[in-house]
Amino acid sequence: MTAITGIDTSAPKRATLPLSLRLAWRDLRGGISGFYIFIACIALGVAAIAAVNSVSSALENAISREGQTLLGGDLDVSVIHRQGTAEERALLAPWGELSEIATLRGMARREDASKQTLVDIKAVDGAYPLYGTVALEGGGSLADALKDDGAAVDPGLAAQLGLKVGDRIALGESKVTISAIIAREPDRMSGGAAFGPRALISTPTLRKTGLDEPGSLIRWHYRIKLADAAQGDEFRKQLAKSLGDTGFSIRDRSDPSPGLRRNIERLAGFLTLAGLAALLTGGVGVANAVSAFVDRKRLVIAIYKALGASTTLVNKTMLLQIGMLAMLGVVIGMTAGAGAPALALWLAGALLPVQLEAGFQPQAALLAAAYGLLTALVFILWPLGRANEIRAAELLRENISSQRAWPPRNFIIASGLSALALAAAAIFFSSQHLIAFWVCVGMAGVFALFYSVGELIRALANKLPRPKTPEIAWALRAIARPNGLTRIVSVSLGAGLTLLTAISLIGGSLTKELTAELPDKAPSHFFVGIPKSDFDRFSKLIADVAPGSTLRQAPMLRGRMVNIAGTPVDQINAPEQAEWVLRGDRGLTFEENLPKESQIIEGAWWPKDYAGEPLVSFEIELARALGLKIGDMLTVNVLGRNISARLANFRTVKWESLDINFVMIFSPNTLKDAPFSVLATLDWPGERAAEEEAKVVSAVSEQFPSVSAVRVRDALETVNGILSKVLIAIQAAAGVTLAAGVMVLAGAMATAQQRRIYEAVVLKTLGATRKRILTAHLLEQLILAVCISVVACAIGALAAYIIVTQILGAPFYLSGYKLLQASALTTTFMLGSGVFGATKILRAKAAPYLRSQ
Amino acid sequence: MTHPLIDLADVHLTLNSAAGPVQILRGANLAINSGETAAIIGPSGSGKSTLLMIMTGLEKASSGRVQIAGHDFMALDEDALAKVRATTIGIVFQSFHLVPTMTALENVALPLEFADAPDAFERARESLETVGLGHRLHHFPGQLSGGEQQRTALARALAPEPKILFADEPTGNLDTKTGEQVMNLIFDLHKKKRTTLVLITHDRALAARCGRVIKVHDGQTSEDRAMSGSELATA
Repeated sequence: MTAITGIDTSAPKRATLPLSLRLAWRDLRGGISGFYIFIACIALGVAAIAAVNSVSSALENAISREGQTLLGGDLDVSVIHRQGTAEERALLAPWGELSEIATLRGMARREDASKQTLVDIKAVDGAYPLYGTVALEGGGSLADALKDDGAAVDPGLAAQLGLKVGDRIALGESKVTISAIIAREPDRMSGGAAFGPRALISTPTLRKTGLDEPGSLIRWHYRIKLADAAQGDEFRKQLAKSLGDTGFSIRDRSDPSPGLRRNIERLAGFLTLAGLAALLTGGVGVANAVSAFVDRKRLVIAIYKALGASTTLVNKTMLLQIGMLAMLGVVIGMTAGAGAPALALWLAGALLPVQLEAGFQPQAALLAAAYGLLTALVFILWPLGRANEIRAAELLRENISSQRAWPPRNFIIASGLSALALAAAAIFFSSQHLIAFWVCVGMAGVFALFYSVGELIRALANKLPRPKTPEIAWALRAIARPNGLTRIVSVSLGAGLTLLTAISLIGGSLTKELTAELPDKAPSHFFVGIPKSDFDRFSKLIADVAPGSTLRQAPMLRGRMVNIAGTPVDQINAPEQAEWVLRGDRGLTFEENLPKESQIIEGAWWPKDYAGEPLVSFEIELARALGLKIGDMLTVNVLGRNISARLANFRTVKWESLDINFVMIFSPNTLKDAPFSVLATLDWPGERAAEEEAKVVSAVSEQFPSVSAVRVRDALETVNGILSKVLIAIQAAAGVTLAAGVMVLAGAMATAQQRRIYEAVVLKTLGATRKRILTAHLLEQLILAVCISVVACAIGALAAYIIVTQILGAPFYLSGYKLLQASALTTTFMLGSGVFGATKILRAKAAPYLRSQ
Repeated sequence: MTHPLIDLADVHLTLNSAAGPVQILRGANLAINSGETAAIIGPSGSGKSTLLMIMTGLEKASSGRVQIAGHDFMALDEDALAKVRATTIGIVFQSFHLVPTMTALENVALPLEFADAPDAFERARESLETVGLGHRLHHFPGQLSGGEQQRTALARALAPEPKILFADEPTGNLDTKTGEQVMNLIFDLHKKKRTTLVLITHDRALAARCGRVIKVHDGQTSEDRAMSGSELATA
């Protein structure tokens, strides 16, 4: 290569780069004006996805990093209903330090019985905690706090009962002293969802409460701090083999809280899909910006071609130039999203169960970048392909066609392949592939639909007879214009509005279902752990304190599914919706008669006084999901014993009735001799004051200290609280989609501004007042906003109706406020931006514009 | 007998428009030999610009023969035509058509880069020095006067040392004095390099400086001969 001296010192260096790259770079030196919205659209979507995944990765990393502390040991071996035998403990002891703890639920009462609440009790030995420390408010050691029937409690428990350190509470059959308030409990998360505040007591104190009697819902955990951490896997294998069918579950530090991890994964998955919706909406802005870029570059492209550039070189140059700008958007988005863990740490660090690290999460950033670049490709290639239609002859001929032609076939194919790759990535990287697939189909459908809606509105505006009022006529003309804003408003705002409306209505329906209107026949209370020998006395008490009420009861045991039709459950690849049945302990019962609200769909219920082979009835939907067949053998492990029963029938269950429902009901001869407790519900029709209901709980917890009482409304409110938080996160993600739509629209309006100014100038020249021009302008925005809102509300409501009634199985509530809030916001934005845009249009002086045309 | 450098025979061009097909060229014939200077004149809409587009390969004729510097333009695709332009043809436009984001040097180097010339920038500098813009190498078009821009365009057109230089109303956007300077430059360079020059112009005085004048009327080349001053006055 010839060195060029004396011209430009950078010339030889530039010459080493491919010509397309040199040309792209030279053009970019002129600035990125016209690409701000393009970059912002990509950056916003990428930032949303990067933020969600960075936070979830940081959380999951923290959970893995703090696995030992969160689990409370290197391994946690647990069994329900019973304590480990000496032989079982002997299997564990040689491997390292051992700690025994018990977890259960119970009622904590004030000494004067005026208040009581459900508590999550944890009884610990002296070795607890094997990792980390329990921090107590005001300092002090846990060992000191737990001696002499002391209890360290959550601040929430003390507040709920109106007690302080030094006060006493009744727990089961004994009383304990609140000796300390828990500031931090290292292994809190390993126990799964908490139904009440924590009460930490010692194992001897638990014995005194009498809550550990056989058959009670108590889980005994054996945690090991391995002498040699490297032996973890080997130990786990040997242990699984030696414990066999004794009913023990084994968890290790690699996954200290599977439930939390699954929830983080799921929420991150949903929020990523919402981020993708934002990215796709932003893609419309990307396509617009590229179209405008191609229009701006027509002359330069024609010059290149006239000077001898090949079409391939021009395509490469344009693609590189746009690609560099897309990459800039991706980098900005990645950087912003990467800061999310730091923001989460700053905003909610104290509330998080783990020590979040604010560091860069490369996988999350790369995933977001991949989504960003694929989306950019989908929306760049199509309009960029149109640059092919630009011919050098345009330099000499003025009548340049501005008609939109289809891009060349290779651009269409590349664009389509990018879209497929994007969808494939969304499905592949989602933890819920099927849902991700339907979300992709839904998004494509929504975009196609709103594109058609835009066309329809335009066609209607074109077909309508010309109104007598000129302002309305001008507005309709503007809406009907082929290259006007109609289609872009529809596509950019439609998806976001539909999504927000649907989420809002789904959230509204679920919240109302959970809080406001309990089913007519829903029970008011659940009572868990009633000793079977005490049930008659319990019934009498309820008849006294809750006259007019009905008590329903069912025997209840906990058991773990072990084997289905000869296949161990850990080898069954269950679909997501049925996976939980195979995981952990399930409530089991036995019944002589088919429950009133159930129907047999297949098979037959067992006859009265049946005494043959053990039989089991299974809920129909879950049975289908698991692929069960009548006649299959099901084995469950109850109290360390494997019990097999033949599948006799499939039955329907009305979960929404909130009554006593079980997935599996066994024939009485299967389980009646096992040490079970009784689960009861209280049906108490009519409206009552909270105090009246509290009296029932008070009486029960006083006379049956081992029975846990749950007020259905309280439980639903707890669930609703969690749901509301999740909904806020989902709504925020959907809000990003609308924000992307707003940006797209702002970009489109900016592009159309010059044309609108010229039109306004012509109208002014012909005698139109500024008021009339402004009115026409606002009418156009209003008509468009209302039309799109109506369609978005209708589709959003329909989608919400289908999801709520068909997928979630809940009644659908149509709230006018929730239906219209997103639309009202959008209409206000449209009018606001209309006024803002109009001020610039109306300020423009006529002469310069007329001269330049 | 040598073959004409530009050889057009019975060239027709019909374009489709919303109102239906429009015949722009109706059997144009033209033969220009190497080293000649020719002016193409005619009223607006006569088809002279279209004739230029056909000769430069920017537009493809509907029928007829188009042979330029030995290349059969009717048989070449768009990219092959672009290659011929990069090496054989230089074009100067009325509106200069410089790339606004590139310096004068980069603009002039463009056709050389498109032709994969390894010494593109050196030759571009020489070309700019030839048109008297050696001191404006790193100026962007917006920083140059109209005359300087047209001289840059001329340097760009001549940098690859084309066999033919087409100039489309090169003084149309310049004041009289600057226009005259540019035209003097074009004719000086023609004399020096013996480049065949084809000039599209409305300016009869300018046409008179060419060896031949070709009149285009209603899509046909009605005359093709050297014209005297009085003939030009009535053309």
